[in-house]
Amino acid sequence: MPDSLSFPSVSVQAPVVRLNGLRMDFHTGDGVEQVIKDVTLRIDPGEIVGLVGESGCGKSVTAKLLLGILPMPPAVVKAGSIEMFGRDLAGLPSGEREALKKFVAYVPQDPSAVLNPSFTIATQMIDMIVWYESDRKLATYFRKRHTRTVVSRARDHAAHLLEKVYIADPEQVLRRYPVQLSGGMRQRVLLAMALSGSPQLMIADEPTTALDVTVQKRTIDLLKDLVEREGLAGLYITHDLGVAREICARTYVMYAGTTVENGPTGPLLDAPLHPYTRGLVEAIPSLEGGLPRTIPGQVPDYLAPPRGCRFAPRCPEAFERCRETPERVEQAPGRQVACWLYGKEAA
Amino acid sequence: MRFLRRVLNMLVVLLFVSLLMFVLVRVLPGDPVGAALGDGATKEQVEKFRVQMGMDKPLQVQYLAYLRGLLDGNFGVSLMEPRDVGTIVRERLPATLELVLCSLALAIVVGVPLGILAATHRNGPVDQASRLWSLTGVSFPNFWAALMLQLVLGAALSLVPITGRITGPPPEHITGLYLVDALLSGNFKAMGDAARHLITPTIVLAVGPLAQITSMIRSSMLDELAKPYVGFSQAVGMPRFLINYKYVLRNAFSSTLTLIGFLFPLMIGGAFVVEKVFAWPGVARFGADAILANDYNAIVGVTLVICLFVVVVNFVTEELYVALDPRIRLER
Amino acid sequence: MKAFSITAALAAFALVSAIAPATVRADAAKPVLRAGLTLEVSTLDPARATNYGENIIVLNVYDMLVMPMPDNTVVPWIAKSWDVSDDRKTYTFHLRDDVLFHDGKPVEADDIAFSMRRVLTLPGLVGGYLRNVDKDKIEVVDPRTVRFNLKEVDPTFIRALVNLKILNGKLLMANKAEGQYGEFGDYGVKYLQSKDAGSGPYYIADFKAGEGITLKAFEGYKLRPFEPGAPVEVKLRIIPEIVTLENKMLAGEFDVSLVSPSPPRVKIFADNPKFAVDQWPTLNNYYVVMNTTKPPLDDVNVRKAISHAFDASTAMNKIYSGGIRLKGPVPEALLGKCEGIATYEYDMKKAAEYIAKSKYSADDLKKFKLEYASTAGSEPFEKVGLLLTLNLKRIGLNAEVKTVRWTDIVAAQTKPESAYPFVFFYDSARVRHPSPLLSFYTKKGWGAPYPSGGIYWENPEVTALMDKASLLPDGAPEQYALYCEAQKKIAAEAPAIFAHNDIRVQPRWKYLVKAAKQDGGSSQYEYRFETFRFDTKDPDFVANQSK
Ligand SMILES: Nc1ncnc2c1ncn2[C@@H]1O[C@H](COP(=O)(O)OP(=O)(O)OP(=O)(O)O)[C@@H](O)[C@H]1O
Ligand SMILES: [Mg+2]
Repeated sequence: MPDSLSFPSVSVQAPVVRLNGLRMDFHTGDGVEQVIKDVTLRIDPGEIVGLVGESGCGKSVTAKLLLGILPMPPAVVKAGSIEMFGRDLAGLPSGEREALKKFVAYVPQDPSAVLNPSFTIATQMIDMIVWYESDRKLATYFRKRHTRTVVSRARDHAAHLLEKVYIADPEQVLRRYPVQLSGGMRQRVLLAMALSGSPQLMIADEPTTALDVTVQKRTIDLLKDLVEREGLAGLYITHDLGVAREICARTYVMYAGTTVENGPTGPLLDAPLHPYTRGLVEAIPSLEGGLPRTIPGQVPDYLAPPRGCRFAPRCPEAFERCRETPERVEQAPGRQVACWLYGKEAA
Repeated sequence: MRFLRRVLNMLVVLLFVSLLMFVLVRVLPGDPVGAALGDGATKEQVEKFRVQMGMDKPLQVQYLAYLRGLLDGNFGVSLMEPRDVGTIVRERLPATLELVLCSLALAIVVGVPLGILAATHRNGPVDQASRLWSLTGVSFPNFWAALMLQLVLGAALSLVPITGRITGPPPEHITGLYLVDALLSGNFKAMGDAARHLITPTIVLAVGPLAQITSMIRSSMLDELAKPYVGFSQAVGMPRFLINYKYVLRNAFSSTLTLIGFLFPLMIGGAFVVEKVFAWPGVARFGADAILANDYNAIVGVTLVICLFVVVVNFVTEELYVALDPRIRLER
Repeated sequence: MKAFSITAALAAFALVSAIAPATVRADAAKPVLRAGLTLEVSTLDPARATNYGENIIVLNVYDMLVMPMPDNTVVPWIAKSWDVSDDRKTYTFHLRDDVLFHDGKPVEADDIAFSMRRVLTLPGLVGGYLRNVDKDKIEVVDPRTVRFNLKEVDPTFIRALVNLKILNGKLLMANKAEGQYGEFGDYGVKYLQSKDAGSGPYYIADFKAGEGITLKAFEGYKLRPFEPGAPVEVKLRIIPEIVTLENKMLAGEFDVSLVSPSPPRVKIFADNPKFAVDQWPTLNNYYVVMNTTKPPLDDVNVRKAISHAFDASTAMNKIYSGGIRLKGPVPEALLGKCEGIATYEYDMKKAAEYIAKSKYSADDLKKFKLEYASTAGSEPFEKVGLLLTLNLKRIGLNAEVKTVRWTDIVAAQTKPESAYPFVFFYDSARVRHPSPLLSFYTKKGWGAPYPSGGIYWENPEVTALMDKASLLPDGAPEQYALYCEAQKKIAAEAPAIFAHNDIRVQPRWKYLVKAAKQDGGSSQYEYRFETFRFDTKDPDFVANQSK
C-alpha cells in the first residue's frame, strides 16, 4: 500500500463535502449562462448521497466542480462556499487542491472513453499509483517510474486492486489494452483505479448508463459493496430513481441549478413534497403498464432564466409568490424543500 | 509473413512506377535525340544514335531490356551527362537526402513542441503566432526567402557560406551523407564545415513542413485534449505534464506521422528550388533538368529511386504508426 | 615604394584573415579567378559542349588552327600558314612546331587529322559547321603538314575552323573505351567527359559534375604570353540561380559575372563603387521566325503588319538589357554598311493598314490560331511573347503564347505542317559569317532542326544571289555587296521579325582590371582567361582571394 502519511491528512469527522448556497455562472460567447443558482448539499463520512434531476440541471457541473475539473473560466463562482474534507476550497492554493484529488475517487459515465486507448491497463494504473506516491513532484515520479522495484510493487498493488473488484485474473487484465476488455470489465477496472489513491469520497456520475442492463445491476452491486467495505462516502448521480432508492441513504433533487428538495431517499420518493420531485416520481414507468406522465415543458434557458422559482413556469401549482425565490425550509427532520407551498408563511 | 507481403507490395509498386514512367516519357511529345546531338546532326547520325540507344526497337522490347539492366544495377545512360544514370543518382542522392532529412528533423524538432504549446495554451500568444505561422508558412515564398537569407546571413554578415555543401575536402565516403560520414570517421572539421553549409538551405526547406507539422500537431492535440480520458486523468489528479506529453502527444502524433509520410516526397520536390538557389549538388535539380532535356533514362531512373525512398519512408512511418497505436496493431 | 605596398597588402591581408573565418591563404603572385556558371557542365568534350559554360571551359583548354579576331577576321594560330588550291577545294595547313599538349607531347599533323575525323564522325553541333570537309580525304602530309579536301566550295571554311578544337589523338587512343567506332573505340568520348586532352592555356585540374571545375595555367603554353596578373587558377562553380550568383559577387566570393544580370540588378553593381560594369554588343541575334506556309502568315501584308506590331525597343531595353536593332537576318557588325533595307518600326497604325490590305477578311483572320512557342524555362522569351501577342490581338489576330521545350520546338520545325507560327530565339552566329544566317531564307535551310528551319520561305532572286556570293573570294567587297542585296530582298517580305542583337553586361570587381572585353577577341573568344588581368595589390583583391 502506498503510504498516505506524506499527504495532508483529511478530517474524517467533518462532513466530507459541504456546498452552501453555491451560485455559479458560465461566461460563454453567447453571454452569461446562470447555470447554478443555489446548490446546498452535504455528504457525511460513510454516507452515499444521491443527486437526481432532469438532463441539463447541472448535476455533472456540480460533480466536476467537486472533482476539480471544471474549467474556470468560463465557470465563475458568484456566491456560496465549497468545503471538502473540512477545508474551504476558495482559499486553497492550487497545489493543495490537486493534492486533495487523491482522496476523491471518480467513476465516470462512459468507461470506454476515459481509458487511454494507447496504453495497457498496467501502464495506466502504475502511472497513477506511482504518481500518488510521488508527493506531486515530477522528478520523483520519473525516478520512481523507472525504478524496477517501485514499478513491480506498483504492479502488485494494481493486481491487488483488481482483485478487490472481483477480477479473477488480474495479471491477464493488466496486460490488456482497453479495447480488449468488455464494457463491464472496463467499468470494474475504473473502480479499481478509483481505489488506487486513498479515497474518502467516491463521485459516480451516472456510472451505469453506458452499460447493458445485466451489467448495470452487477456494477451497482459492486459499487455498493465497495463503498461499504472501504468505508467511503459517495455522491451518486443518476436519472434512475430506483437505483437511488437502492443505494443512497439520502437524495438531493436538483432542478435548473437549485437543490429544490432533499431528505432520506425512501420517504422522499414515497411522499415527495416539491411539485418537481412529484413530477419526477410520476414519470417512472410503473409495473402495471400505461404511459408515464412526463413534466410538460423543459429546463429553462440559462442565458435568461425565469425570476424567482425557476420551476414556476412548468409548475401546475404555481402562484403569484413564485416570482420570488423561495427559502429552503426544514419540513420534517432531515427533510428540506425550497418551495412557497411550504414554510412558515404558507403554513 | 506480413513483412514479406509488404515488401512484395513495395516491389509491385516500384515495377508499376517503372513501367508507367517508361511508357509515359516515350509517349509524350519531344525528341531526345535532337536534344542530345544538337542541331547540326545529320540524318545518319540521328539514325545511328537511335540504334545505339535501342530506340529503334518496339517499346516492350525496350522495357524488358531496361528491366534486365536494372537487375544489374544498370539504369541506362543519361543523355545530358553521358554516364550511367545509376552512377549519377548514387553521387547526387545523398546530398538531397541529407538536406531533406535535416529539414524534416528541424521541422519535427521545432514544429512538434510549437504545436503542443499552441494547443495547451490555446488562444495564448504562442497559439496566435503559430496560427499565423501555419497560414503564411505553408504558402511561404521559399525562393525569395532563400535569396534573402543568403544575402543577409551569407553576403552581409558572413555567418554562413552562401552556396555549396562543403568548402574543404569532404569526409571519407561511407554513406555519402557528409554529417554522418564525418561523424563516423571522426573528422570534426569536415563536420563543422558541412553543418555550416546546411544551415540556410535546411531552414528554407523546413519552413513549409514546419508550419504543416505545427498546425497538424496543434489540431490533433486539441482533438485529443477534448477526449474524456484527458478529463478523467485530470480528475484523478494526474499532472498536466504527463497528460500532455505522455498521453495526448502519443495519440496526436500518429496522425502527424502520416503527414510526415506525405511530406517526404513533397520535400524532395521542394528541394528543387533550394538546390537551385544554394547550388546544392542534389538529385532534385538533376531530375528537373532531365525533364527539360527529355532525358528518358534519367527521368525514369530518378523517379524510380525517389519512389523507392518514398515507399520505404511510408513503410517506416506506417510501421511506426502501428507501433504507436495498439488499436491498429491488435486488429491485425 | 614597392616594399611599402607589399607591406600594406600584407597588413591588409593579415587584418582580413583575422576577421574572415576562412583559412585559405591568398598568394598575391598567384591570383585565382573565381566565377559562377548558371548551367550544368555535363561534358568537357569539345565536340559535345553546347552551353556557354562548357564553351568557355573548352575554349581555355583547347586551341584551334586559327584564332578569330574582333574585326571578324581570323589569324594563324596552331597553323602558321595555309595554301588554298585554285579550285578552292583543297586546303593545306602548315603547323607551328613549338605547340605542346598538356601531357608534354607536341601537337602534330595526325592530331589535327584525328580531331577533324572525330568531329565529323561524332554527332553534334560542331560537325555541322564543317560538313563540307570530305572525311575520307584527310591527308597527313608530314608531321607538320595536314591537308583537307572540301566536297564543295565553302566561303566560310576557314572561319568554321575556329570550331575545330585540336585534341591529343595519341592520348585519346591510349585511353579509348569500347565503342562503335571500330579501331577508334568510343573516340575518347568517355575520357573527355571529365578529362582534358588539349593544348590550351589552361588544363583541367579538378572536375566535379554538378559542383564545379578548377582550371590551372599550363606552363608550357607558347601561342600567346599570359597577361601579367592573369589568373594562374580558375575556379568555376555551378550556381544555377542567377541571383545567388550575384549575391556571391557582392560577397566577394566571385570576381566577375560570366552571365549578364537582369536589367534591374545591373544597377546594384553600377551603384557600388567597388564594381565596374562593362557593356558591349554581342552577335546574339534575336528573331521571331514565322512559318510562312501557315495562313495567314503566307500573306506578306499580314507579316508586315506583324512586324510593325512588334514593340522592339521595349523588348530590347526593358526585357533585355539593351541592344542594337536588327534590320535583317545579318547584324550590321557582320555585314558592314548596307543601305536601303526596309525597316518596320513599331507603329500600330501602320500595322492596321497592312492588315486592311490583307487578302484575308477580318473574320477570317480571327479564325486562325497563331501559337507563339516560348522555350520552357526562359522568362524573357515568355515576356517577349506576351508583348507581341497582346499587340497582335489588337490588330485582330488570334495569337497566344505557348510554352514548349526547346527539343520539341526544334523537332516541330522540321516539317511545314508542324512548324510553329512564331518561334522566338537567338542565334549566336558561331561561324561569324553572313551566309549561315542567310541560308535559312533559301530552300537549303528548310526543315533544319532549328527554329529558323521552320520558316519555309524563299525568293529565287535571293537564292541566286547566295549562290553567286559563295563563288566569290571570301570577304571580298563584291561578296558582301551580294549579301547586302539578299538581306534587302529578305527584309522586304518580312518572313521573320528581326528584333535585335543584345548587349553583354559584365559586372566585375574593379581589381579585376581586365576581364572579357569586346576587343579581347571575338564573340566568345574574349573569354580566354590568359588575357584577364588582376591588380594584385588592390586590398579588395587581397581580401576577396581568401573568401
Ligand atoms: N463548460 C461549460 N460552459 C458553458 N456551459 C456549460 C459548461 N458545462 C456545462 N454547461 C451548461 O450547464 C448546464 C448543465 O449541464 P450538466 O452537464 O451539468 O447537466 P446534467 O445535469 O449533468 O445533465 P445530464 O443528465 O444530461 O448529464 C447545461 O445547460 C450546459 O450547457
Ligand atoms: Mg451529466
